[in-house]
Amino acid sequence: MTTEQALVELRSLSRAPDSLHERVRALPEPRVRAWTLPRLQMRRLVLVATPAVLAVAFGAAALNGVVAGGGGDRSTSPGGGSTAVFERLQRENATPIWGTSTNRTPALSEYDAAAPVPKASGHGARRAVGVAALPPSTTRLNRYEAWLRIEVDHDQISNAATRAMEIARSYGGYVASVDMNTPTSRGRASLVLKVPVAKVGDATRKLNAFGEVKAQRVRIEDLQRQANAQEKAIIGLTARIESLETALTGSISDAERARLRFQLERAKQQLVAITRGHQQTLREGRLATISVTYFAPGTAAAAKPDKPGRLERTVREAGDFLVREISWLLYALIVAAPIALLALAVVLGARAARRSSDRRLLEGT
Amino acid sequence: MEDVNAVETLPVGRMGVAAKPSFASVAERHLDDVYRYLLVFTRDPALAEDLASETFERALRAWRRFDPRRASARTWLCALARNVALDWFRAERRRRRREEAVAEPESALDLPELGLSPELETALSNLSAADREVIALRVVLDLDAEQAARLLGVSVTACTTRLNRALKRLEERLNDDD
Repeated sequence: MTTEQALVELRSLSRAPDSLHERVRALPEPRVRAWTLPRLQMRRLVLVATPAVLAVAFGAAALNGVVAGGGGDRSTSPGGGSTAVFERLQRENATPIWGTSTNRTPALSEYDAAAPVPKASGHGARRAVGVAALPPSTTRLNRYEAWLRIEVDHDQISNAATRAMEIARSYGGYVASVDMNTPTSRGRASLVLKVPVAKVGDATRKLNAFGEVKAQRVRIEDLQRQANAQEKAIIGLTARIESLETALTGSISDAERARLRFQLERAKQQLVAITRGHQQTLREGRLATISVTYFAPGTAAAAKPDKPGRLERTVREAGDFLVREISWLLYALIVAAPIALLALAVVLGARAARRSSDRRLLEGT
Repeated sequence: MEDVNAVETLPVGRMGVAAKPSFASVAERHLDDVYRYLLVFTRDPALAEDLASETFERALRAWRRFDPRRASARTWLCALARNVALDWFRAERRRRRREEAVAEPESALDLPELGLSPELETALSNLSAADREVIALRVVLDLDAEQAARLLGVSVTACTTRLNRALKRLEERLNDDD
């Protein structure tokens, strides 16, 4: 018998017996559900899901932009401080400020005072415009820093800078740095002055008198606790050194002597370091730092940062939100990708193992 | 006998998509194919009848999941029949192992007749189930290589290779009988 004959014979195999036909015919028709979930093919799912996800992402970003960036104008001062802080400063400074003794200074206080200074007319009206810095404590050691932005006429910048340096020196302080630039009609002079804390009020008042104070910021940090701790450490180390020196004069073993000497050296080194630190702290508490900038009106306008409009803020907020969404997506992908790959590998491995097992089963049967 | 090569024509529904035929019509149309596939695969008419019956019961339960756009009804039914047959082969192997553990292995029983010539029946009995399966799919049902490969879970090339080897072994067995 040839293979061709065998294949023809195989193709002519008998049909299923009638009894089987009867059994299958007896099977009922499957029940049709009134409603079933639509089966989505992967391609259709991707085609539908991708625009939907993008629409949701952009919609959320736009909504966030409108809500977060589209509100009313925020009142910000050129100096970076808020109106509320300025009002707080004004309130706290309602009592006499300079030259009076205060019982309490905040351990750490920082104030921003800025623009809402009433615009005076005329050069004379600019003087002593009413913005004053906080007074330093007379009973505690403070690190005192002040920043001033004062608008003066263009031709007065140089004069104001010179006078500011003279003021600092007249109070026993010095000029830490000067940076002056006065091209054509605009100009600016930035000075960093070191003035004794006790004289900082008078110095500030005089510095303010050259023009109109546009922004003022004061930062007071309590150094008393730090100085006290350093003094306490100095006293302790001094006593320790004395006791060690006394112990070394007695009759002790060589090993003990060497150990005590080592401790003595270390204590002396610590004493030197802490004494230096204490002197530094005292210096900081003795001299206030005043950073003052005199500028011509044109310069101020140029330096003033543009306040973003409502649309710009909205777009910026929406962009930030989109960036956050992308970062979340990337984070999720980074976290989920290894798990998904592992799961896929398990599924594929199980399927391959099952096929291999089936093949062995059929080949052995 | 029904022409198994005939192209399956399905009623066209809305939007030009082929509408799903009724289960009864599919069962009536493809019962003989499923039975003959199982007959060659298992080499036992009674068993093939039982497995075909079970295949259609499974098909009835899974009918909601049948999608004519993804596969023809015949291929879908053959895949179900293959799973039913594999389950039976696995159960049979377990049964034999249990029996061999407690008793002497039983001697080979006389094989039931398939309605073929004695030489072909003997040659088929000397082939493995894997060889008989690929012959059943490609020769008896006349599935194309792609359909058969998808059903077997292998590539088209592997399916063709398996068919060639199975036919070669069939030829060898037929020549041995001569």
